[in-house]
Amino acid sequence: MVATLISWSVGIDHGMDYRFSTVVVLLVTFVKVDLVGRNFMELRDAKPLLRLIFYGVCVVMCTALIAMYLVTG
Amino acid sequence: MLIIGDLIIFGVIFIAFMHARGGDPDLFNGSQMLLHRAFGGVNTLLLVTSSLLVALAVNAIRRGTATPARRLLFAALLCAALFLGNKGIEWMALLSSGHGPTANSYFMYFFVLTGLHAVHVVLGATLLIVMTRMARRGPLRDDQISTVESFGCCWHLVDVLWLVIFPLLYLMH
Repeated sequence: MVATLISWSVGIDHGMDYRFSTVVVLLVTFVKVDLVGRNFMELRDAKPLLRLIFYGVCVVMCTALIAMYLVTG
Repeated sequence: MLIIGDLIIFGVIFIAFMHARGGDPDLFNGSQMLLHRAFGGVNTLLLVTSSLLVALAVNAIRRGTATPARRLLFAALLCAALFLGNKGIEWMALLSSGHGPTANSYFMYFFVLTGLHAVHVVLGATLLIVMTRMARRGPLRDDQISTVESFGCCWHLVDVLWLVIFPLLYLMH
């Protein structure tokens, strides 16, 4: 919930550089994905390969989205 | 692996959205301004809450406590229903104001992403209903508990997907 409120407050107009705020919003997004994965999907107790695949997909997705955003504006 | 596959498919759509956005950022920013962030914000809180309820329900099922598990699952289903209702109101408002999926690229992605996600919400809610019926039986065997845990993970995937959809569609600028 707190992470969602952080995203919301960073995402609305507030005078912060818009590119910085958008990158922060995207990073907080994947922090939330990690929190749901570890605490609700119980990935912290899952097999290492499964954790690797899940977080691998998330890291690739997060990196690709932020990189594309920064490159294309 | 179904969950990972679904995550990858949506990931491809997210990247396609970002690529399309790069081609016309002014169109995407301008179209985003037509949305009411409150719809997306409320839906995020509903799904995060429902995920917590499902996680608590799975723990209750593991302990063999049927009544608390069913109550938690009913509450999660209520969140799902409110989510779909909220989404329906938002869609009707957009469609009635001429901002349907054919209006421009942004709204095409908006309706594709939220539409696909809504289908997942309905499928996930169906699994929650099955979990509710299973919980009624009282203490379950290990293989049945595994099934419940898998269904719970499917619901958490619905939450995870929305956690990415919300900022992409409502917050980025």
